[in-house]
Amino acid sequence: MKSKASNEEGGSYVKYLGIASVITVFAFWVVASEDGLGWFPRIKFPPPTEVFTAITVLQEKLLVDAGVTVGRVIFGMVVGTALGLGVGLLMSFSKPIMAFLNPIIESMRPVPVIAMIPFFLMWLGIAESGKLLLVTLGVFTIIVVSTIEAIRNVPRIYVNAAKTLGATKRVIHWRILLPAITPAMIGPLRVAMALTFTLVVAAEFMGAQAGIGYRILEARRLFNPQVIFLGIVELGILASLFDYFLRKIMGYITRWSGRTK
Amino acid sequence: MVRSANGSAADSTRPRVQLKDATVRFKTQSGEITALHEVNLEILENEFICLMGPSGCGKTTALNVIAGFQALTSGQALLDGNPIEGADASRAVVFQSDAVFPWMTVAQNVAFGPTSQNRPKQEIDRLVKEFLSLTDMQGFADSWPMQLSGGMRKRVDIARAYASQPEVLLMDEPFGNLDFILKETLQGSLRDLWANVGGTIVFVTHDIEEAIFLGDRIVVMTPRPGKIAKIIPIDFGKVRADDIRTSPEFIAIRRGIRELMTETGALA
Repeated sequence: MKSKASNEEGGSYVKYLGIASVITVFAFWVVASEDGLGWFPRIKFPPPTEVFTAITVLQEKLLVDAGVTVGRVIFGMVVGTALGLGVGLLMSFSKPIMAFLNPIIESMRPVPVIAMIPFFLMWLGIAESGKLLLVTLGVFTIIVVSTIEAIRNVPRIYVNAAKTLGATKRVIHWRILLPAITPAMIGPLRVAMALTFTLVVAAEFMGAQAGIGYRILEARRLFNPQVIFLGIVELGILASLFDYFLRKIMGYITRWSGRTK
Repeated sequence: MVRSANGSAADSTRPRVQLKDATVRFKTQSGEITALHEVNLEILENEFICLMGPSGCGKTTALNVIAGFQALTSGQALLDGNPIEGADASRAVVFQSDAVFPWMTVAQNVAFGPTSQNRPKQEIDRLVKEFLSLTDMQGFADSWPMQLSGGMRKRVDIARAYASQPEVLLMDEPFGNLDFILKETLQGSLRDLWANVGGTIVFVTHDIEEAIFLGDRIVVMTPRPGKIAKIIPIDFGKVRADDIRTSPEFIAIRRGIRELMTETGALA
């Protein structure tokens, strides 16, 4: 049942708490930096004014970097999720495929994907394909395991009912299992989304010609702490926006489930 | 095949489902148990048959055998003379727990059977319309199951099973989780639906009154091992009104079944 009561619990001020927390952090930044009481030197802790100046200096580079990073994130999420769901469904579909692929996935999964960066550099250099492969792989490992586990949790009664109504295995996978697991996939997808940003920045650290991670590393070399800060803020905003839209999309897809908003 | 809604579903004596010396044994940690012991049963075309008995009498096992979920240890299970192997569209099941797909609207649920069987679109639309209206759910075609009550979801479940046009409809204590008023209402609706449209229904229940109200024949089963104690024909006609429940004949049948169950040790 949809319940508005839980949202209104504790009065209307609750919805302003989110805004308040952002303001608190920003206020601390102003006060602690040389814009305010100057607790930390500007070299280590650039004040907001300098960071805003960095925006005007970087100009279109800022947009290009954001665009490049976002492109890699979206590619990794879309391709990694599609592959993870596909392989996960395929493995639940057939016992031989499960028996063959499971040991490979299980032995690869605990290895931090970041540890593979030098390997990808060795094979693919700093080409785009290496970075895309890295993010895709990171998303894939999360999604494939979550898919298999979520399918195990789908009540058998739905599958049995579908069979007695004449559904083939293919229909059962597309029209029963796939929609049935969507609520359980929201958590893994959000985790994967956060990991995607981490992996893209890590890949950009290792070698790139554009991207927020690349710009942050370049700023360290050129001794531009305000640009480093700007990059961090940019990543924070982008990651929150992506998480917000992911939740909106998944909320729409699972609108039948009556989960708490 | 379920006949269309002209009420002409002529009763015949052709057996649709046959169980011949059907035996099912399970291995459990505490040894082997015989869930079904040499059961012989013929279910006729357009017959509403109730399998009735206490827990452990094998009624659900028998239904699962007919559905194709459960293989026999020995004996035969036949549909129209052919061995039953696995579940398919010839036998739709309405389960006790909620099996309506929550991610599909009511109409999509009812359309699932004919859609999976690749029926033409006009036929699917017609079936959905027909069975939503026969189950009094026509106003809820675009609702999500989450928005419905338990009783309404049961109606959707029955409409979905009927719209799939199976050879045999299997119902496994479909009203077991509902309160008694809702139960009586749905029993009445189901019997009316069947009187209207026909179909061969195997209905499993532990509720004596439900079995008498719904069944043309009641197969009384007893536990340990699960077998048939007696098959009782019920003669209340095709269309049944609610007030037969309190009639002397009804109560007499009820008493008879209770005595039978006491004799066989199923009722202490």
